[in-house]
Amino acid sequence: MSNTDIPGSSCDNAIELHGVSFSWPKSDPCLRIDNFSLKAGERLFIYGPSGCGKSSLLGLLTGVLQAQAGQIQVLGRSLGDMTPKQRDTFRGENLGYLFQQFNLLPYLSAFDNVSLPAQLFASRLRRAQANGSSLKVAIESLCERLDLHPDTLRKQAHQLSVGQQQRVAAARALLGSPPLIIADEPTSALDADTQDRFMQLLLGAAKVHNTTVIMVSHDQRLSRDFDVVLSLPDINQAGHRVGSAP
Amino acid sequence: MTFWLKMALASAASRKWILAISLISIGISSAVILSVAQIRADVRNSFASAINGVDLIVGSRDSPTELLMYTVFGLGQASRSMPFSTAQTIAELPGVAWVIPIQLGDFYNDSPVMGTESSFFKRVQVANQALTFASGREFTEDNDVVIGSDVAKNSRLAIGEKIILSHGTNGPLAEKHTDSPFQVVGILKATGTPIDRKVIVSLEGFERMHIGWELGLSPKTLQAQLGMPATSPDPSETPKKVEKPSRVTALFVGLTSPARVFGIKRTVERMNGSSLMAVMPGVTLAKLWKMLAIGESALLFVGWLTAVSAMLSATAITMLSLQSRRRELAIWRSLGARPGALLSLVLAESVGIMLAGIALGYALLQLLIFAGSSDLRALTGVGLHHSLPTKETWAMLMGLIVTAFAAGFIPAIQAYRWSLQDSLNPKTSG
Amino acid sequence: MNSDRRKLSSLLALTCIQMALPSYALAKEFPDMSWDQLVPKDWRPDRSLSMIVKRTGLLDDSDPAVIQLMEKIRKAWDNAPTISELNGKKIRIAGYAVPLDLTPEKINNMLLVPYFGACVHTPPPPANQIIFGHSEKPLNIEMMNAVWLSGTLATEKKATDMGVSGYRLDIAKIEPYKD
Repeated sequence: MSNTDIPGSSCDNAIELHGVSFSWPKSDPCLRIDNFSLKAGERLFIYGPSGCGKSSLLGLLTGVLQAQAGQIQVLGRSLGDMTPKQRDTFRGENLGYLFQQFNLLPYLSAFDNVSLPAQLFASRLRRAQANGSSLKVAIESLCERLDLHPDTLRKQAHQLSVGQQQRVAAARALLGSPPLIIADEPTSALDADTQDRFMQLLLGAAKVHNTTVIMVSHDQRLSRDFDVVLSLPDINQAGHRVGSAP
Repeated sequence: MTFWLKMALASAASRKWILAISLISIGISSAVILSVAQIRADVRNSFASAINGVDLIVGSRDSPTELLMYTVFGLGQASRSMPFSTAQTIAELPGVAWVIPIQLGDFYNDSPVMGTESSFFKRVQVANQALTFASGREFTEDNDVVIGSDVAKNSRLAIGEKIILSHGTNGPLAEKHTDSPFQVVGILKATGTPIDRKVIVSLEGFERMHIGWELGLSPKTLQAQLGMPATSPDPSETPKKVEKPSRVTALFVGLTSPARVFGIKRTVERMNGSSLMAVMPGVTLAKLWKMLAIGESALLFVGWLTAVSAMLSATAITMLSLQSRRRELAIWRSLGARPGALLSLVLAESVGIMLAGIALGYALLQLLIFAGSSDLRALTGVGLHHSLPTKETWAMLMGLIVTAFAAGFIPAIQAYRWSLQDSLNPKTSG
Repeated sequence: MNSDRRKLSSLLALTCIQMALPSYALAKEFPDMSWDQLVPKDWRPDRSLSMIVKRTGLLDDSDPAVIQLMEKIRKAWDNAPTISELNGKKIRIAGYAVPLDLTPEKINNMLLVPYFGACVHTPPPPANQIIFGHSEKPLNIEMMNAVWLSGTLATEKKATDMGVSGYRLDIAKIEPYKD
């Protein structure tokens, strides 16, 4: 159920893609999307087989990759018009990202891992302290919501279970209430029970500030609580090529 | 900036044992290079400051470096002597300001004994400074002796103590001048030059000590082993003041103007049937220094190879650990860190380790100097210094630091490139 | 139990004595000798020679006349008399070692001298002050080291590259000289 909006429409869209084409060096395009948009605050679930361009799409949306053609607007800003430096800053200030696993820096404690966005960007620090609380309190209350207790936060990253690590990663992504969260198969490393619980906590915490959530996964069973569920091959006009994306 | 520094430290701490090994290997090779540079500078200094104020050294025809070795450094010995009249003849040459005769051949333990005139203390300089006394004074009596600071320290001698000198050699079987004890009347201030290990008596004292010692053998040996009649004189017959010596080993000569040195040198070398040699200390020391410098250059070259290989090993180690840090880089990228920041992160660690290794090397050098300098000076007359690094050492330090940066950049640039090309899915998992 | 302990302690005592015995025995077997004891009491060189010796301090070494005189001394000293009674005597004597063989590891022959020419004027000693030392086993000595030599003396003259020796010693033991 994708929106096919007219190009250049309302800027309360979290994401807008127009005539986007992306290819890896020396390859044919693996991603061609004519039109796509997502409203702010909506939750998007993307699924598809491997090799269909999921990673490429995430790379484009986070601004790490550049499209060869077309326009990509994130939170009303055109990524193609930014310098690499601006893209990096934009990502840091407005995005929270979740990897499938190994999200945390092993040599820092869980607490320090969560605090990273606030240490890197003043705007995230400010937003975290928005209701007058200190950063420490803000982190602890955010973590409470994700079922992480202060004792757990004191541990070194490598001392946590996978489930705990993913939740710490979620807290880091949500610190300072960024408008957009992107998660790349965040539950694939978790067992079935933990998966459901994680999704509940993540989406619950995201709802507090009406954060837009985009999640990529091969497991359609998790799409239950999402507003928009999308099969990527349906909107990707590029031919399927197994192994086209690295 | 401090944030990234903290991150670099935290990251390095998780690899501390491997980094410690790199640190030590760089430290050792740096110490080698710095030591060679320091020693080379100190040797050159020692040579240059070993004797000043003397325009020519005159000895019997030998090799110039050997003459310098036994007159200035107290190493080796002369094969012949010259009549005392030569000193007088040279002193009368136009252009000669002063002549100081010296006699060599005896020892006090391992320190060479030198017989000379009291004007030695006024005319001869070391390290471009006049000789000064830490305590006591010059000799006035025949049995007075002045000692250098090292002799006083190593043999624990003080003013007023009596010493017995050995004849001809410092070996264990050397005959001692037991009939001629000398009393310490002066101790020279420490100079860091060979004079610190010298034992100085008057010409008359040297002569008196050898009365009866014909052929360089003690009266006892001459009588008991060579069948000579008793020649050692009755103490009551010994004159109160001894005549000037008949022969001396070498002469220190000072000229009225340095420009005359070549003319005087030529004249001296034609005297006495061309049996003499006049040497310019500065020139000969420079030649000696050049000969040593070749060996030192080889040593330095090897030292540099060692240091570079140590740094490359450290780089290799960092590169290997970098492989496993690709996920870490992706995490930073996802948080909005710029590739340049990641380059700095890796650079801080790789360069940091190398700089720490260099600092360790410098510390090892100071330790080496502290531990070994007195032994080195006793053996060779060369003094090492704790002082701030010499020009040479600075040059080496700078060279090491530049190499460290160059080597350290290799993993840093690799990190930079990976952070650009990996997107958020690095080729390796965490 | 008690008899075992007694056996052990007497065994220990015996071992200690046995270990001390060789060096004690050696000292007894090779009594110390000093160099003047190798010279006949009545040996007096030519009067003119002793006059020359007295005057050497005043002469220039490179003067051909002096060289001639020194040669005269050398001739007299090469023929210096030895003490025949010392033949076969076991002695221990200290001096400077002068290797005669060229290869460092295989030195079987050496000269022992009481002093060496450290001083400018000192000529090599007379023959009765030079001992030719021979050892079946190779000796490990460095040039001009001071050593103690123990062995059996023989009044046998020998001309070597380094000088004429008046005595020969069959070396039983060589030790470095320590004060």
